[in-house]
Amino acid sequence: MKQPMSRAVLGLARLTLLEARRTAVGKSALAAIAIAVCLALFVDRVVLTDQERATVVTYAVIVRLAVVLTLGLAIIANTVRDLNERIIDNFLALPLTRMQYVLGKWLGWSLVAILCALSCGLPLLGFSGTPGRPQWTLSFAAEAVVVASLALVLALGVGRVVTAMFAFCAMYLFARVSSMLVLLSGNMGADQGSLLDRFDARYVEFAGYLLPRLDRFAVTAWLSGGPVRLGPDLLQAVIYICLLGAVARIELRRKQF
Amino acid sequence: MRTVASQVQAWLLLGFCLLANVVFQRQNPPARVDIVDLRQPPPEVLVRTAALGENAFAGYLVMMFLQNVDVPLGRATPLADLERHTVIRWLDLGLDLDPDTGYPLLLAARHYAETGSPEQRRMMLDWVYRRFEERPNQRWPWLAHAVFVARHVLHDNTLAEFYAAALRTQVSDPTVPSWVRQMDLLLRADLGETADARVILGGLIAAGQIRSPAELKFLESRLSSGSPPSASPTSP
Repeated sequence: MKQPMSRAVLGLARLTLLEARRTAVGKSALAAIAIAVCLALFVDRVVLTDQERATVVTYAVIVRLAVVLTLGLAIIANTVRDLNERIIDNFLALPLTRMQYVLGKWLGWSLVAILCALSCGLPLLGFSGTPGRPQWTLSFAAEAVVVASLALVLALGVGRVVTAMFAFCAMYLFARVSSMLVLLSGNMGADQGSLLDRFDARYVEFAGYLLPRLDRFAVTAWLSGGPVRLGPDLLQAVIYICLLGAVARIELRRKQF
Repeated sequence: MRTVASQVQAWLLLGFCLLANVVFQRQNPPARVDIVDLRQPPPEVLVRTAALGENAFAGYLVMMFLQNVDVPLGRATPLADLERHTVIRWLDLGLDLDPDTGYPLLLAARHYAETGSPEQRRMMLDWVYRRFEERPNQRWPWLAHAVFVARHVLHDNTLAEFYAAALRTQVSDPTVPSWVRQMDLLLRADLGETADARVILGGLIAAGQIRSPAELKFLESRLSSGSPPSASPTSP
């Protein structure tokens, strides 16, 4: 027998899944996958050597970016609509805490993200000579859940589609390149030079600490025989999802509905 | 009745706009460039950052650009006109981004080394040799190609023997086929260009080094034509 509260959370998750279906999120993700497959097949026709590797790498890079942006936009647009049309007020009028509301939405969107990531892994089955396909798909699923959580928190916090989407893109892109920027800042004089030089070098590093290391997820090199390290990815995903949960908790306490 | 008329008007407007767009595109074709200006490649760190850390993908994009740079919008520029120092910097960028690929080495050994002046060809072969020295056990197929090009395209037996000796002394992986370390025997046999090419190509296929159909087709086209390419390998 489930507790009423957890039943409400699961019901909200189911409603979120229905909402995703009605707003054609799945179809958009499938379109993104189809476009990535077409571009990868085009590359297959152009390259002179390493055909399978080049095709798989192209597919993985394009589908990852396309699906992440699709998920981000879908979650932000749906959540902001809930806020603007006061749908959230209806839910909060029920015996449901604010965190339970967020948890229900998060569960629903996480399931959508996982389904999208698994769908992205399906075309890779066609490349029998490619190693690391299950690990890549699993890691991408973890990344998709992290970006879904990030989009949800940004939408709840900012409350505007354009601003939240801009923040989402900026944070995602920075999280993808932060490790390289930290290395660059180290070369710029993190350990020497004037106070200003050191500040210049260090603030990138500080900004990097606020974001997840998304460059570690769904590494394309895994698909070409590179060493797979899945454990740290999953740990990073858990840590960052908890961090976003803490941010959501503070934000929801502060917010007036 | 009015609804039907307004629908027809909407479709007519759409058709007219589409037609106007087609006419505009036909009247303003993309600018054609006859002379290729292969500029210096961007810094590697910039490419890595711009590609969001997807180095293999960036490497393939760089190589596809270099492979087709001589055919801008369908007008071929002789490969010999491309400045070889710049080409080498682009090849270095591609191989540094993705050290596991053989794409830049293939372009250098069988595309750029088969065109241009003897000096230009020698530069490309030297580059293949330099990058072979970094990973002899992985990059030996490209030096085997270089042996062939040095002997039959450059007609420099001394250089071919030097590369064959490098294969014999530097390749230490026991899984590499024995004919690779015995390339100097092939040189001494003096079988002729076509027979040598068949031996090398057959050996590479048997060793499982040529897995891409496009690569096999490209190398077979070199074998059957026996003449250096004048344009991009993807051009018909």
